[in-house]
Amino acid sequence: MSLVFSRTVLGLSLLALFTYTLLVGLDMPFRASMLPVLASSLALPLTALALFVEYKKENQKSSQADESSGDLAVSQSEVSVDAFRRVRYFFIWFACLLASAHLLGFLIGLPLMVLIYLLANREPYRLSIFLSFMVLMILYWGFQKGLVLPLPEGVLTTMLFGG
Amino acid sequence: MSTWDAVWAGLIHILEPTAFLYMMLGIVISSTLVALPGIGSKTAIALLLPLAFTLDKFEAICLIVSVWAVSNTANSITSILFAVPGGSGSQATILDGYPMARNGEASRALSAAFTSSALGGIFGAIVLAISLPVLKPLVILLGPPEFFVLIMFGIAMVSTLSGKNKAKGLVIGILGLLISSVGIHLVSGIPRFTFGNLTLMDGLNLIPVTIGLFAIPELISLVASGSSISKMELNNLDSGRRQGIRDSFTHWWLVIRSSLVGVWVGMIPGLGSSVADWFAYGHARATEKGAEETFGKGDVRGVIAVDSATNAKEGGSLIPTLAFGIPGSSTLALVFGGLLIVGVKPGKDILTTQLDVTFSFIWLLIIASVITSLLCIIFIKPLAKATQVRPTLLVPLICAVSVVGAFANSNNFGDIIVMATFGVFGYWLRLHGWPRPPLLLGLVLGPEAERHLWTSYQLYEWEFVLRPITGSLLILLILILGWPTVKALFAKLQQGERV
Repeated sequence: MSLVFSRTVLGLSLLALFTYTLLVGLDMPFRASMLPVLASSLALPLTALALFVEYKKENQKSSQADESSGDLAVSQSEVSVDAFRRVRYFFIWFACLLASAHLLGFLIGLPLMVLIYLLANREPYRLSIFLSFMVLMILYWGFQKGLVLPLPEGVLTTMLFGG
Repeated sequence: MSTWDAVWAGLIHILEPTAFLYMMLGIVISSTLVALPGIGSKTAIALLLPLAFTLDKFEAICLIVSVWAVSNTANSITSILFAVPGGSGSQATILDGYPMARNGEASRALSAAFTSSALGGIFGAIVLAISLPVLKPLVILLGPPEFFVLIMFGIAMVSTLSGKNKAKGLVIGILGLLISSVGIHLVSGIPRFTFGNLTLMDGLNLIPVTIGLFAIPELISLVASGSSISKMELNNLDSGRRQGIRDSFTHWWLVIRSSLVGVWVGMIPGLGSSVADWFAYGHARATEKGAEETFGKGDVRGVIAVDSATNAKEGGSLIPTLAFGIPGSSTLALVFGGLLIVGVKPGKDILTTQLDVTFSFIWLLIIASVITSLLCIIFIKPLAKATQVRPTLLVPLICAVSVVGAFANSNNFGDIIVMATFGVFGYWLRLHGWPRPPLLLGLVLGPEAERHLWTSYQLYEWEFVLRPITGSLLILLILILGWPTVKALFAKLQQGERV
């Protein structure tokens, strides 16, 4: 997916979202609709303006590195082909992280996925095991015992081994 | 409670052993995380918010405020050692800090930066304390219409100053307001934008949204960039510390002037650290003797001016935050959201009945600034080494903590999905130059904005916009938003006449 296409999709999604919130807002009782309707009616022309300005400036390539207060700019190394390949792998790993947390539970799923990430990135074997073990310790002693947070069991582990 | 009682009570609250311990924890975590590559103060606060909610009010204040108050101090390490800005507030530090490091004066530059940070922090806190008697009557004068317009003003200011395409910032700020309206409307009981989903019925929680918007995109960015910021040798870190500390005191007048610049920038919502450092640097360059020749080549005064301003800014930015509930910066919006959830509500109360809470902020700014600077000076080497940690080690660890942090908020797996969704959305926004901070500000201020809007409508119908203060603020806002366009049009017209 090219950057231009991705940018267009983002802009159009925002336009669609604000149109939807405006239409839904108009169907609500007055009191509940005040903020959504007011906000959506302001957002629609502003989004159109933002997209217009962006396309006008497209040739200047300024939108890529929009420096902002407290929001650091995207560097050129982050938009290279290699960078996107790394990001794709990260997304796959992140999805697996969430899935394993759900299926295997936090105490097994999260340290396991940390270990897989570290080994896949060719980190030393011992260091990877040590860090994964540290994650397990933080989860168990820090969150489950220290903060008395009931970390959920996995759907799969509960099914296989009981609650 | 008299003012002096409040001053004393504020100090006692944060000197309670557990509260003090959480302040120290906040300082250590903030300084370490900020020194790590790619992890900014917003990520640090986002990751610590779930912990803060399990604490009592003053313990939570100590943790949240100390993380924020000292986040600009350790930023200077990467700027001075590797010419890589550690955050938006340490860009100008590079101009003289890096040449100093190359001249073998890294330790002197770092010590001067840390000491002037502490002095700036103290100055900002003092200005905040002095401004309280002025703010109190002003806040009492304002009603719901004024507060509604002030909230809009705050969001617009942060939005317009957060990028080149101002409309983008405004759109994202409004999106934040809309996201704040998701869930069952408390007064009418109408579900808004919930799609029948149970997780959405309660509205979107601040913590998963914050972690998603600020921690996940930074991690993706770390993955994308693929390397740590520097593999340079860390030399010249042993000698020159005393000289650096002495420099800050020798140039005390520069510290005060730069701190004033910082406080002034902080008081205007939307102008962040990235503006304060350049203003202070420009001021020092224009007013210091011989600066034209020496600035940019390794003059310690350049470092002192920048670092005292960026830390003094924090005291200044608390003024609109505490008085009017308008966070002066995007990071402060996060702090503000956290404080709201632990029961600290800026506005009239915090300046009248809860004055001790306000003074605990002021004491925290002072004590945390001094302790952080001392720790940074003592532990220069380990902090400098932290900047060289490989992203491959950081990413999975912080991801795991983010997942638990999002879940800890309400023990609901749905919040993890919210975090992941906002993580991807935040990355998408970042990739295309849409600023994320206004969204957070809109989300945090949304419920208050809606409440004030409804009360204003009930009292005056739509004529509330014509009231003197609200009308003036709206005109000012339109002028601020429209002025660059008008200026550009005039310039085009003038060009046309010449042709």
